[in-house]
Amino acid sequence: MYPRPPRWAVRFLHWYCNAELLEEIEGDISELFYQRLESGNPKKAKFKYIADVFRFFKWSNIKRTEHGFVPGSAGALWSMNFKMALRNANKNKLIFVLKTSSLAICLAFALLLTAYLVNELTFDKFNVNHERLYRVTSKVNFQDHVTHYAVTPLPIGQTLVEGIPEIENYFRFMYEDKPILRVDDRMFYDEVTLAADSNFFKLLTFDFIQGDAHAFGEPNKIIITKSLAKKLFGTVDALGQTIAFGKDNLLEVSGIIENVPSNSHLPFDAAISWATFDRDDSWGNLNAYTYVLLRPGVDLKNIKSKMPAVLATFHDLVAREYKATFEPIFENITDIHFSGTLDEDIAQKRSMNNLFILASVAFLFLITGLINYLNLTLAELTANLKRIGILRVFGGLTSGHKNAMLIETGLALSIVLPMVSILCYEGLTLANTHLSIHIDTAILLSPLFILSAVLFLILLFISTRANSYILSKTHHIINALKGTFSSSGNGLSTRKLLVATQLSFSIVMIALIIVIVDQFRFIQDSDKGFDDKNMIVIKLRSDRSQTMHTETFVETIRKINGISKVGGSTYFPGAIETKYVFEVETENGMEQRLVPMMICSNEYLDALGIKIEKGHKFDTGGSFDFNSFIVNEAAAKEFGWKDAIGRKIGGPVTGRGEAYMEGEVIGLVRDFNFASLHNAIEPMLILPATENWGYNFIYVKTNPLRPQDLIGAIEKEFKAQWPEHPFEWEYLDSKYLSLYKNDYEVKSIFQIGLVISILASCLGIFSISALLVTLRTKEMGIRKVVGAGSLHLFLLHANSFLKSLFISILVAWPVIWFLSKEWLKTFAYHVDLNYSYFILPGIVALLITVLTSAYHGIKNTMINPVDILKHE
Amino acid sequence: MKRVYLGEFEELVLITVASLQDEAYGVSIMNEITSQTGRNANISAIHEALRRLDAKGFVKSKMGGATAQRGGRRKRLFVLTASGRKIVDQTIELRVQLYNRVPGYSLKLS
Repeated sequence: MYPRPPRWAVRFLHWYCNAELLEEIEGDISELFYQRLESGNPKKAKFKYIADVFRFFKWSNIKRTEHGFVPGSAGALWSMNFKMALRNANKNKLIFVLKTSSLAICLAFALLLTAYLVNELTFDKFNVNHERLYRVTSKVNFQDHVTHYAVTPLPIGQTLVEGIPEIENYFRFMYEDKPILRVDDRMFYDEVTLAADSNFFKLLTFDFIQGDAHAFGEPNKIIITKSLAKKLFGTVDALGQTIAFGKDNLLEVSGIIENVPSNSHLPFDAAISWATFDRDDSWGNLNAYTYVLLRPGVDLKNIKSKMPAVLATFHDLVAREYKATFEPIFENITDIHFSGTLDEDIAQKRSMNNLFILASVAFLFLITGLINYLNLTLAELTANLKRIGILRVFGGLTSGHKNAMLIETGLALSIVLPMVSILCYEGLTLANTHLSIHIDTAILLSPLFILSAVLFLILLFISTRANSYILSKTHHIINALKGTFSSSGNGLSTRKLLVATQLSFSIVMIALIIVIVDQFRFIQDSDKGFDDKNMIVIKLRSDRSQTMHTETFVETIRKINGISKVGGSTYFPGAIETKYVFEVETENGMEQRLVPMMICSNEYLDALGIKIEKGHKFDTGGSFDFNSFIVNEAAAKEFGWKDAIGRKIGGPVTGRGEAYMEGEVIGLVRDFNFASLHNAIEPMLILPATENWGYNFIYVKTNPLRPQDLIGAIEKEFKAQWPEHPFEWEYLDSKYLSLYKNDYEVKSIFQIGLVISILASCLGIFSISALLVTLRTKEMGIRKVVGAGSLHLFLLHANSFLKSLFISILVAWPVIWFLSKEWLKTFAYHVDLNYSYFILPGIVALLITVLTSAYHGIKNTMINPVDILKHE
Repeated sequence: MKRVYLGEFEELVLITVASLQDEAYGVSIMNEITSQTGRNANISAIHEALRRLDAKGFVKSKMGGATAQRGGRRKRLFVLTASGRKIVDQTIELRVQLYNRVPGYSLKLS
């Protein structure tokens, strides 16, 4: 059999080609086809035929007349549909604007939330080796008290790599807090700096702009991020420059990397080479963060079974020296972000509960946007029923209407999508500047995000299909001509259902916002056990020159007018808390316990207003008792003391030997909470500041009236004392609130969400009440003629919404209960759910419903029955 | 007289139509151009050029000459009109005129 031109191509040609030109074109290309067939292989001829068909597919050959498309051709149909869609939009300008803008806003908000979620869920996935990278953490069991440290002994990485062949490599780093960096004469002290070994940049994935990780093994090298390079040198081109660090170290910039991605658990600005420092590389030094890289395809269980043998000497050491057991825990790098905060953890953390709530809000938003869109489209459809009826009388098919709907959606989308992208982009920058939520724009290109965006679009199209389904129910042309959907219903029930869903979403949002605001009020009002008002905290650097002269500085600023109290302490909200082993007197004699401790000056407890329940302060009328302790109530409870005063404590056992002190408890203070309310109050030992134990936070209680002048005065004294050092200070109360940064993010997202959701449901109610009015004008007119009062008519109108409102309240209740429980679970201390969280949102929703339906309701009652009833 | 311009490709097609006499249609023009100039013309470009020439009044066409290879479809056969003839002459004449003004090849010694 002879090969023929491909069938579909021929059909395509016939479909598009102008009938006048078809004969010559088809003749020519089929002649060419047979010519080529003779000289070459049939496949090539077929391919060329197809190419020719497409070459002829141009404007001049397409079916049309001088005035447009040929009637009856597909092009003509689509162009008519398009024209209809434009006319519709033009006719109902308000509805079209409302429809598209509400869809755009909801879609943009849902997408932004998705971007946020994607950012959270892809934490550390940018590392090429993330599946094989594990962080080693230490679980120390000390006298039945388990403490889980994020840090490990310094030699553990090397030992594991040598002893277990399944482990390919390791790296370790230490946290340097924020050291002072100097370039020329300028000082920088706000950079998060790590001391990392050379493997750090080989195992983790960072993009080098300049330089590489090779030289990083040598001492006195530093690798900085792009933004830090710009800050220090004014240019990214900073390779080979030097930065002064510490007393007389000069660091050479050996690499510049791209900024650390927003979804890295480990944000930092600079890394100093490990070899720069002279470390105490012993097992007792529990201070390094260690990560290991497993060989491909290795099961973690194999490694765990080999661990005890490899670490045997260390286990012995721990048992002998500290009477404790040590267990290394492996944690995949991608799990770090979601696991709970460990001791001395510097990773960025997030609780899954928060994310779960945000995800459901994102989903609800999408649904609201869609519902609004559907609702308004349906409203338009009802207005156009007569047109559809006439079209069908003339033999139009339902598929034609479906196409028309598709075009209408397409038109709306052509406006919505650019709007969404602008809103998304603006939203991201706004979130960055106003809410300090940092999301890299690169997230918008990640596959997960694109996938969900596409899913959103698919959902949109499915929902327009749902509209066509409703349309296909209009079997009866006569009904359509009359302007109703079918003999049984008029599409109102569907729309009422949609509005009810929307309302219940708004109710959930209102309730959640009430819970969140209440919890924040609870946090602010809760008795922290200390007074953080008008308190300035000055941070000192922990190097010798600064701790030496602390006392003199305190004495000078005490004299400044307007400063009432000055105290010093090692403790600061948000600072990494260290625990030490102390010997404590219990019922079973002296026992070793791991307890957080704080060193403070005599006036500190007074300055903070921490109440002493029993006993007295360190200073009793001139004689300063160094060998004494003060404990908090939680500690007394922990150690089983009924009366704390006079109990013996010795310690710290570990740490520097010369600082060991032994003494009695002289005071018991009320519990105070320096951590956020997410955590329960821990036991606390308070030691007096001595020569061996200094403090590095000075707390200054100021006169509330003129803090700015006071800060200037303090800074002057500070600069006189330590001209070398930066003056760093913060208000205690704002610092304390910054512990709730994550919760504030959730709160602000919810606040914006609430406004949008209320607007959306107002729109829904407004549009449905407009429809109701048009459907029932005649009925209202007759009622009025018969003698119904305005109030009665208004109630009749409002009544149609109340039923759906009650249903939506009932649906919302369990959702409120569940979501707020989930959120409150993240706090150790929180408000309890009570009935007002359920009743209040309902009342608000009722108000919204009545008010938005009132416009049409009142308009309805004002009508003159003559106007309506006259035309038949 | 308002001058009518011919594109380079249009001119080529027009002269080819003239040279093919009564057998000028899409495929034959294309084959002729390919064999004479060695350049690969594509069929839809030739149709486009013919249509433009038609609109300018340089060629006229009639249908005819169906073959089996064409699936029984007729060809659109093109012939030159009087003005087409004239424009070909004019163009060639212009070229020759210009060419004659080019000074003879001579070595320029300096």
